[in-house]
Amino acid sequence: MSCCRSASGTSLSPGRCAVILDFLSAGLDVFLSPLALGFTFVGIIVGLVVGAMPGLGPLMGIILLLPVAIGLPPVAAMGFLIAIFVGGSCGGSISAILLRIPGTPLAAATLYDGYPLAQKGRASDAIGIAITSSAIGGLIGGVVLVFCAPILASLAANFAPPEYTMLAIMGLFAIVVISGGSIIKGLLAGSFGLLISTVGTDSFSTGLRFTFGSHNLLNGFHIVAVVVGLFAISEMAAQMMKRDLLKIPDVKVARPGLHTISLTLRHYVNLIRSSAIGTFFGAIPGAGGVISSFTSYAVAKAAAKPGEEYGEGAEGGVVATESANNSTVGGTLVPTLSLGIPGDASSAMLLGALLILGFIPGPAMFENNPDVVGGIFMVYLASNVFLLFAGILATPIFVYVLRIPKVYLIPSILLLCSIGTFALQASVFDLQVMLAFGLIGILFRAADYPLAPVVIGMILGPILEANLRRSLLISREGYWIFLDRPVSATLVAVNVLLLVAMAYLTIKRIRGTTKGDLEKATSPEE
Amino acid sequence: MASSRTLNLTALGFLFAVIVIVFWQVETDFKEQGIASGGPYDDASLYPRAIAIFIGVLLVFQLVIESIRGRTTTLTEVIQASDLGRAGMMLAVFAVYLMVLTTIGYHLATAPMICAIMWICGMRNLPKLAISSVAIATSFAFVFEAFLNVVLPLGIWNIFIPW
Repeated sequence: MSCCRSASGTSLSPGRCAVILDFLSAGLDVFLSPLALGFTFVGIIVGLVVGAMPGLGPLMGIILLLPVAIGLPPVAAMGFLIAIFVGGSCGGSISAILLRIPGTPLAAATLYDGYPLAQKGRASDAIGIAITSSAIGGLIGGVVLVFCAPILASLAANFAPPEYTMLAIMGLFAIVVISGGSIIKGLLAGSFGLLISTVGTDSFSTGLRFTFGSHNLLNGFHIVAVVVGLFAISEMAAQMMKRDLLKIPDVKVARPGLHTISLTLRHYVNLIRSSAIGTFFGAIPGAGGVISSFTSYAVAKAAAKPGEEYGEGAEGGVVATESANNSTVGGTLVPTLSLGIPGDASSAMLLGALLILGFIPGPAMFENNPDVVGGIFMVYLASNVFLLFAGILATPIFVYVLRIPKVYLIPSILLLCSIGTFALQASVFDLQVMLAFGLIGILFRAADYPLAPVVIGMILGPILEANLRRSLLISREGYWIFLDRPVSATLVAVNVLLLVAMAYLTIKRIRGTTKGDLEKATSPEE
Repeated sequence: MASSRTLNLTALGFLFAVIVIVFWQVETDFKEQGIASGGPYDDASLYPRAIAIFIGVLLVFQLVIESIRGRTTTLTEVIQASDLGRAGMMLAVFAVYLMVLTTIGYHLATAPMICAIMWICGMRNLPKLAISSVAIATSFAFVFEAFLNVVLPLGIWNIFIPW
């Protein structure tokens, strides 16, 4: 199917619609299998559970179950992981509303109105509104994904190695700039990820790099072992340092009904606006759900009608944050699938899963594997529909899960990490890699280094190196090839701007820190 | 306990060690293989070396920031030794588990590991510890072996459960 070439225009012409329908119909065939449907549904349940548990969240859910997913057919595997992403992005609202602890940072803004609503005796309504808003927001993000991803992929079909080189650098820079914290630490973490990806056999010269004579390192580190170690092991160590390991949270059972759908639809303007904001931020690499949910909350608050008291239990507050953070998932899949540039750490893991399954995200996947692309569209849309019904009807189960003390969860998660990582290649070496990266993850967390850029660097590393070397191979003027081509030159300019922004933010931060520390040190409160 | 400044310097030291390894490998192993020079096709050291230099530049910047901060920062976040000890013990137990896993097999190694971590978490009810650790280990084995066809480490005694 020459879908990318058949409609070269970027407007929503009848030809473009036909291309999109082709994708969806190709995807429908593979999606309508018991395995794909079943795992998408299970993924939603798992996602809601990991999202609801403070300290876990969608990224951890994807990481922990990635070893299970890669043993499945491609669309079932992606359905499972995407559904965990979707369910996990929404699940955090349950603990935010009931416990005043957001299960994930994505649900932090839901606290403002979700918890006050629960305090007014409307916990069930608040959870129902959160789930419905998430599902509808996710569906709006899905529509954008279905229409925009093929357009972006067809634009990128004309990209050559120089453009891909600059895109990979841009993806990394964007993550570092927007993800907050120290820019230099973010860049160091990202560069460390790029370096890890060079371990193994060089695909050009077939030379061995950093293998130290070990045959286990010929193919480099397995990304799952690295990611499980960095995130899961270090998170479990962090959880062990808390003092509520035996505590059983006091959670009252909430039973939201289907009437909450109509409650949510009353806020349709807010719903559509917040979903649009979420999708927009999702499509920008690095922006993610946290920024989108806080932004849409601020916009909704600014546009509130008299009588709507945001911060004191307004339904609109929950609608704004939850629709935004779930529509972000659809937005983040646009650059991930069409350009191979992940929007955040969770989509980086989805990209990693696609690579492990044998598919290289980007225009070529749209051209060569329309069934997989269409299947991914279908599982994403279906997972939001499943979220609506499974979420509302099974909330009492998720509330029960919140009562499980950490003393049972921590060893269970460690065990899942070990079995899952071992199952990848039946390799004990992968387990050792996992533990080693767990220790690195602990050090990075303790020193306040972000972990997401390490993963993004590891995913983007091979893309960056291969395209950089290909660019230099086809160039007669060395590095000038990046400025000779208009699109590549534009991307170079964007990267330079991002570098300037990074320098500016770093200087501002140093000035702020030194001033702030001095003030802090002399403050009577401190 | 370790201050944030010490932790930052440790992280910088780790990254510095990474750079040293890159240049050491390029000068030794890469040169022996003939992949440390030439054009973009043959020179496998071009990219890792460029990243290592980039990391080096960033390390210098970060050190400057640390030195500026070092003059002004007086407050550090202190983690209690008992809290840190729990995490350390968990990692030690987990490391021992990974070491003995292939020797004594999943079914013998896992329940004691779970039991030990629960004990470290503070659980002292022995029957509860025993039952829950065996239940968790067995249920995971069932899911992975029976449903996902994963062959878990059998150990030198080839212990497996025919589900």
